[in-house]
Amino acid sequence: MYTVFTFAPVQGFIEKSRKLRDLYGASIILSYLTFRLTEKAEAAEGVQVISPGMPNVQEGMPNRIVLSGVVTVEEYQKAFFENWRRMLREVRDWIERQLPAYEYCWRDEWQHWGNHAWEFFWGQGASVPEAVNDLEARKLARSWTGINWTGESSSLSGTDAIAWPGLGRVVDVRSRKLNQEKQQIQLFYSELAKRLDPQGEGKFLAENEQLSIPELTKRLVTRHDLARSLGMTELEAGFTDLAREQDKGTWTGWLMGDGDKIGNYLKDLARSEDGGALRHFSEAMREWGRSFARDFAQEKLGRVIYAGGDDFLAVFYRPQKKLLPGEVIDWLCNFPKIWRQHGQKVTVSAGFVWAAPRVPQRDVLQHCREAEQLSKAAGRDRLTLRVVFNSGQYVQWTCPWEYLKTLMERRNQVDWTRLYKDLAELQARHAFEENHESADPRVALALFDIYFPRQGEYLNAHRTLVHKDKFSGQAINSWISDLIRVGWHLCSNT
Amino acid sequence: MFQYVITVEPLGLLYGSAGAFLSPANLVGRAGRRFPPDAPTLSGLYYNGASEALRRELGEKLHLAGPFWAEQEDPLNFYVPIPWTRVVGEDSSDEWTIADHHWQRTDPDLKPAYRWQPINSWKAPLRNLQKNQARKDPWQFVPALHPHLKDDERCVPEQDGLFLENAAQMCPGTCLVYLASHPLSAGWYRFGGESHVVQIGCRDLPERSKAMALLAEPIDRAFALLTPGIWGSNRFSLRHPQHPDFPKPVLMLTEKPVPFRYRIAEQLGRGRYAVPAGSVYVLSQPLDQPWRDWNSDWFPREGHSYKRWGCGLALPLEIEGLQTLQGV
Repeated sequence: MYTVFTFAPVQGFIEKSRKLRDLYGASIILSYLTFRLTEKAEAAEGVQVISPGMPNVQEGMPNRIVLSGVVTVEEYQKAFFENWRRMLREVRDWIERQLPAYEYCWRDEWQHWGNHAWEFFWGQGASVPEAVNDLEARKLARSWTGINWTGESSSLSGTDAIAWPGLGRVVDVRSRKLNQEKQQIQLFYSELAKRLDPQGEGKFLAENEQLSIPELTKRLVTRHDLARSLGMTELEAGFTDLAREQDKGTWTGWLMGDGDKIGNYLKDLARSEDGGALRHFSEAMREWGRSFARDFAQEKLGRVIYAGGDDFLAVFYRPQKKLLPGEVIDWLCNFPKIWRQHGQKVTVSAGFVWAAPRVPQRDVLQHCREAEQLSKAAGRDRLTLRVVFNSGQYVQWTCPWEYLKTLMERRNQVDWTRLYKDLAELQARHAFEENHESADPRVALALFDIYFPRQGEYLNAHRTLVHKDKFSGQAINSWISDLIRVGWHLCSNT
Repeated sequence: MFQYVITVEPLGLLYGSAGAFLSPANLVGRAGRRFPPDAPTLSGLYYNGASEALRRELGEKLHLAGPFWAEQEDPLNFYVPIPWTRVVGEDSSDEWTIADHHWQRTDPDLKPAYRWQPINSWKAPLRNLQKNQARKDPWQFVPALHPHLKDDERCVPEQDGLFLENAAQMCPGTCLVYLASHPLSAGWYRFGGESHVVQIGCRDLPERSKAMALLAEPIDRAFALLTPGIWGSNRFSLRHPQHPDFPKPVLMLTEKPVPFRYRIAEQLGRGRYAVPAGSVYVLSQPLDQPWRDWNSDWFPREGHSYKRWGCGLALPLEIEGLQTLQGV
């Protein structure tokens, strides 16, 4: 008998974030919740954890658990929510201890979040694929309960109530004084910010932030004392947040990716035997995640937020010395080699976003996901480079990893400014049609050939480099003009 | 109940953001995109300049539903969300059927590329939708900058001087559509925020139209939502009505919840979560009545029942294999 567990929301939980700290908090919480379940399974007689591999390591836990043996689903569900509730309780207690002067009426609301923050899914079957199918079938109906709210919403997500001591106080709507409430909330948050961060460096809470219960929890579990008391992974001592929204903020890079056709791959593995191959795969991926995070930190280009299953998110930034996009491009060209270290027959699709300082983090993450999806849609085993400006406008280009290397290694010989001007000139003369299915790609290919010797010819002969099934002249014209736009932004200043 | 089709033709851009995300520190706020506006947004226009008596009448009887959209020359055949039992991809399509008490489909990897279909082809074969009727969103988002100028100088104040809005631009020849129980005078109105102006049109929804016939058709055991579904109590939002008269869903096709909140006359309503439009319900027992006859107690109530906002507006659905599914 096989049992599969998972929970939701995962993407949404991670994306509702303003600071790097929130991303860590969300990722740590997700890993921790999975970790506690595998811990329970490890301790149970006759139950074996098939995936995730390395169940004793908390960091980078993927949020899907496969167990073999006789498992009572309800027990695991109960344990899952108990661990989450314990986390909320610790956070709430911490706040109430730090600011004892308030009269707290918010207990019920914390309890609601304890019961309804997650959808918990499970599936069972005689084989792993059967159990996974069972789980997928149950997921089609979802199982959420939304917690309604009144008054102003969290300043971060725009939904859900702001957590403050008066939350949950029973008041007649007509006698409610919203202005007065607003002042009380502001006062509470400024005092909380002081407690969280006595030096006033604005590390934990910014002046204008008013968060909901889960958002506050995400942020507070990155405190060492709270993490320690919960037995969670602590944020390393030298953690510095990104100064993105301030005027001095610099451009940052974000890489999000995941393995191609993992679902099919896993099904094949699971079919072959009793889950041994699956376990081996899961271990290999987690081991890869660990070394990826460690090596990336050593290169001092930024840090990995999560990497554990087959998916990962890394941020490129450097607090002291300005990070040049060229450094990142060089690293990206080398990434397939890093990816292959796990030794599995799986390729990777990724989205890389080079974001202007004032683009909100939540938007950056959405751009990352869209970019990753473009790579998948164009035929997988690809990278999409997207440059996002403060106005919300962007330029982007998708390329197979191996070809990225071929092109980008020559990029320093290319005069990008001139190439960019040539493109503009040709477009002004309508020699570079991007809007017609029957567009002629010869001009584009010739231009490409001039700046990247012999590559126009090569590209024409290998049109799958552009897209797995769009071979039109239009597709080639767009691909080349996108390359020029992206390349001009990323390569011309190196 | 619905006798009129209200068309909203933008004169320029439309408001496409959810206010709470936008702040000077959070200029772009792409994550806060929200379009098209839900039905309550339209209600404010009805009260504009209405007499005391009309206001009272509206307060008791106004029913709206939407959002939908249409080609301007054919507003009666408006576009509604494709039920999630039908997956219309770029080059092929697929359908969920019921077999052995479970959902099944032949091409699980296919992702929907189209979201809308004309209401008149609600019962059309999937092949027809794929070929020429399914549509993508007929709007796109464009950033629009709103500078606030100083009172005495033509320059932007240093603090909070710029506001970047995620405006929505409708494709030429298309308009938004809402169903209404009351007529609305045609003309220019401000709609949705940031002073964007629209031209409102109002047409009769004839009794003998296809849409009317569909809306009057009783729902048996399966239906799909055309608008967000709001169920539950004032404290919690749920996936289906909790009223004892409402049969229990045995199968559903749905997704993560979407927030639903409106502001009318400076009053901010309760924040709730909605079942997204397109969701499919299969019930244990037949309902034997169209949405318009559903008990308004099945809907949450805030002064009035949410049925007034057309929440969970549903049409009957045929699903292959449904007869094999036994009632519970």
